[in-house]
Amino acid sequence: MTQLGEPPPPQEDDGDQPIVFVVDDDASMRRALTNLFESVGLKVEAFGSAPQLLHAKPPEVPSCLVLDIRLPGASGLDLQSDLAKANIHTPIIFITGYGDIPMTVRAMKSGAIDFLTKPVRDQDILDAVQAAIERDRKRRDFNRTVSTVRSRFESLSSRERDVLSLVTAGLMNKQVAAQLGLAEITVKIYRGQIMRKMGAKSLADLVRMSEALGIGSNKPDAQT
Amino acid sequence: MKPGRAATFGKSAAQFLAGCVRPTATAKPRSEHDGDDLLETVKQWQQVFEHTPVMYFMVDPAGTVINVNTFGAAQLGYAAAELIGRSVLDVFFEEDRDLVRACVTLCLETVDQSHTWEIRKIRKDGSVLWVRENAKTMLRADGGPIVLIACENITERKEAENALRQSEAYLAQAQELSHTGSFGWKAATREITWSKETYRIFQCDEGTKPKIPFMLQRIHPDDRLAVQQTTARAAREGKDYDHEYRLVMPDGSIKYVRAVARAMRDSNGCVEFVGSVTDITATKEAERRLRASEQRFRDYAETASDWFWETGPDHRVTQISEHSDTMTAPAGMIGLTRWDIAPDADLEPEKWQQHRAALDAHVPFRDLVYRSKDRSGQPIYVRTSGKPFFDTEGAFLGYRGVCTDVTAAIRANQAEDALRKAQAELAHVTRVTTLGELTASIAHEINQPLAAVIANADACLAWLQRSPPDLQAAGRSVEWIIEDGTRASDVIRRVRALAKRSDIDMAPLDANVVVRESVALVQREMASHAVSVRMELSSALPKIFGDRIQLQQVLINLIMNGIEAMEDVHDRPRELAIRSAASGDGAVLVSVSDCGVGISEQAIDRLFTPFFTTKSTGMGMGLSICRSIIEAHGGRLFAAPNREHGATFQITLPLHREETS
Repeated sequence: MTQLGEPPPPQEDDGDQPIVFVVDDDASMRRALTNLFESVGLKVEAFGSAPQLLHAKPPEVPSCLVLDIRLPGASGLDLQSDLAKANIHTPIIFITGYGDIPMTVRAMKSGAIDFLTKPVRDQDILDAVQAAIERDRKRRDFNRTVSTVRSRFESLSSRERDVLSLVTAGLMNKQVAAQLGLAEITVKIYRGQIMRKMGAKSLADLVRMSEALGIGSNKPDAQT
Repeated sequence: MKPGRAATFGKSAAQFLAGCVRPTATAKPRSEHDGDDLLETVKQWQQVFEHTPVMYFMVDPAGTVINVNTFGAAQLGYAAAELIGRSVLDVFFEEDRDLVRACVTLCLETVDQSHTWEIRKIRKDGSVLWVRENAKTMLRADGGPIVLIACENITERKEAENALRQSEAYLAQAQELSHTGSFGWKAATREITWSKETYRIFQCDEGTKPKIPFMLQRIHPDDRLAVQQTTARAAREGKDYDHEYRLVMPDGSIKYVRAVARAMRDSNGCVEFVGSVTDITATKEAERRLRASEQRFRDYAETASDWFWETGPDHRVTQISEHSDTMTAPAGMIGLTRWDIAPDADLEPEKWQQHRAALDAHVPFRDLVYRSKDRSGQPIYVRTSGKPFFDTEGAFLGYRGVCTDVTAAIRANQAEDALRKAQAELAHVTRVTTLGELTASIAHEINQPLAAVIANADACLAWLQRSPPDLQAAGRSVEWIIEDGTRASDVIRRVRALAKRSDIDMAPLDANVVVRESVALVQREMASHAVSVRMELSSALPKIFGDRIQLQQVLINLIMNGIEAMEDVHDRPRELAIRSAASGDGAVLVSVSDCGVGISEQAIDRLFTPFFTTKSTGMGMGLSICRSIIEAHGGRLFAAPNREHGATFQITLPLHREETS
C-alpha cells in the first residue's frame, strides 16, 4: 500500500511500542516465547487461554498474536474466528506441536500470517512476528487515513459528492455537466472545492481516496 | 398233723401231766412199790419232758404260761422259771399277737383237736425263732382246759426258704435286667418251662403254658424254618445249640433274640435242654448304628481320596490304609521314612530339617507338601498332616495322619500362574497399543518442553548478544531450559515405564498419584479434544496395593474411552470427572465419568467381554483387559450409565494391609 494523500503523522512514540500477544496453555511454552520475544526487545503479553485474551482490552498499538492452534476449550482456530467477529484484525501467527494439513489450510484461509511448527526456529518466528507487526502497523495507518478521508468526505455537500463520484469514475467535466444538468463551469468550481475539502493534490489522489471510501465502485457500502 | 402222732403226743402229755402237776390226784397208787415205781416213772418222763428237743408250752385259757420245758425255754434264751407265770404273748411279735390269740381261742373252742401253724417267736436277745406250733386243748382232771403247745424249730427251713425266694427274686431281676430269660425243654415230651423274663420276651401271659406252635407263630416267618431246623437237629443229636432269630410282636415291632441251650440227658436218657434266651434288639440296633457310622467314615475317607498312615517311633511307615482308589495311594512304603520317599528331600533340605525336628519333638504337624509317586510311578504331590500318639504310660509310639493327593491343586496353581503371566503379557501388548494411539499426544508432550528449551536457548543467546549482555535474563533462560528439559525427560520416563515389559510389581500405592500420573499422559489428548478434566480426589486416601503401571493403564484406557465418548458432544462442555474416595468397607473407589453418548442397555452387558467394541478402529480388548487387571488386584470394575449424559466407570480396589505386604 502506497502513500495515501497526506497521512497523519505516524505516532510511533514509546507508548506506541508494538505488542506481541502470546496465547499458549502450556506455561513453560508461554514463558519461553515471552522470553524469546523480550530478548529481541519486543513487548509481550501472554495469556493461558483464548477467553483470557478476549477479555483483555483490544490493543491500540501495532501488535500480533502468537497462538497455539490446539488451545484447550476453544481451539486457536475458534479464537481466530471469534476475534474476526469482534472486528479485531490483529494478525495471527499459528504455532503448533505437529503439522496438521487441514488445520493449516483453514488457518491460512482465515488470514493467518504464518503457520509454524514447534519447535520453531527463532529466526522464523521473529521474522514472522516482525512481518505481522509491520502489516498491522500498515493496516492501522491505512485505517487511520481512511477515517480522515471519510470525515473530509462527510464535509462535502450532496452536489459535491455527486460530482466527486462522477469525476472519480473517469468522466470529463463536460460529461459530468451534461449528466447532472449543470454548466461545465459550475462543475469546474465544484471540482476545485472538492479538491480543497478532500486535501487532494491531483485527480489520482482523489481517485485513490474514493476507492478507499468505496465510492465510485459498484459496492458503495463496502468497508473491507 | 397226723392223727397217729397226735395220739402219741397226747398220751405222753397225759402221763406227764398226771405225773408232774397232780401226781397223786389221777394216779391210782396200787402199792408202795407201785408208788415208788410210779414216781420213778414220772421222774423219768419229766427228764424226757425237760430235755426232749421239742419246745413245750402249757398255757391256761388266759394265755399265762403254766409250764415250759427247759429245752424250750433255753431255745428262747430264757430259764423256764423266767417264763412261767408270764403271758405267752411276750415271746411273740407285737404284730403276730392277734394271730396267737385267735389260734388259742380256736384251740379252746375245739377241745382235743389238734391245730398247727407256723409263727415267729422272739428270743430274749431279740432274734427270731421260727416255729411250727402244734396245739391242742385238753381238759385237766378238774375239768379246766389248758392248751398244750409243742413247737418245732423251723428257723433253718424258713431261712432256706427265704434264701431261695431271695435268690429267685435276684435271678428274676437279673434276667429282667439282662433281658435274658431261661427255659427248659424236654424234647421227648415237648414240655417247655419258661422263666418270667422269657414270658416277657415272648410277650406271653405267664399263666399260659408255653407251646411250640405259639413260639413258631411269634418267630419271624423268614426265620421259622431255620429255627425249626436248628432245634430239630439239636434234639435229634442231643447237642447244644446257639442261634439268633427275630420275633414279630403283636404290635408289629421286630425283636431280635439269641437263644443258647445246653443239651442234657435225664435219668431216662431222654434229651432235655436248659438254655437262655436274650433280647438282643438293643445290641443289634447299636451294632447296626456302629456299622452305619463305620461305613459313613469309610465312605468319607474313601471319597476324600485321602489315605491314612501310621509310623513307628523311628518314623518309618508301619501302616497305610487300604483304599478303594488304589492308584493314588503309594505302595511299597512300609518301612520307609517320609524323606526316603520324597524325591525333593535333597532339593529342599531346610523343609525336611524342620519337619524332622518337629517329628523328633513329637509335636503335631500340618500340611507338609512333598513330591511322591503313585502306584503307577507317576509323580504326584502329597500333602500330609499328622499327630503323635503315645501309650498309656505316655511313651511315644509314632505318628498317625492323613495324606492327600494335591497334584491337581498344585497343577491348577501352576496353570493359574501361567494364566497370570499371559494376562500380564496381553496387558502389556494392549498398553503398547494404547501408547500407539497416544503417539500424537505423547509427541506433543515431549515436543512442548523441547520447543520451550529451544526458544529459551535462542532467547538466552539474544540476551547475551545485547550490549551490554543481559546476564541476568540469560541466566534465567538457562534455568528454564533445565526445567523444560527435565520435564521432557519425565515424559519419556513415564512412557517408557508404560511400554516396558515388566513383571507385575505389587506395592503400596497412593491412588491419587496413580490418577495424576495417568492424567499427565493424556492431558494433551484431552486438550486437543476440547475436554476439560475435573478432579475430585479425596485428600485422606488410605494406600492401596497394586501394580502402578497396570493401574495407570486402566485409568488411561478409561480416560481415553471417556474422551472418545464425548467426541460428538457439541451442546455442552465436554467434561471428564475423575473422583477418588475411600469406601466404608475397606476399599478405595476411583471413578471416571464422562458426559458423552453413554452406554446402551445391550452394550453394558458385553462391555467387558473381549473383542466387543463400538468403535470402528478398536480391537475391543481395552475394557476386557482393564477388568482382568482390576480383578487380579482383588478389585472390581463396572460401568453404569449416568442419570443425564454419559457413563461412569468405577474401580474398587482393596486397601493395602500391612501384614500382607
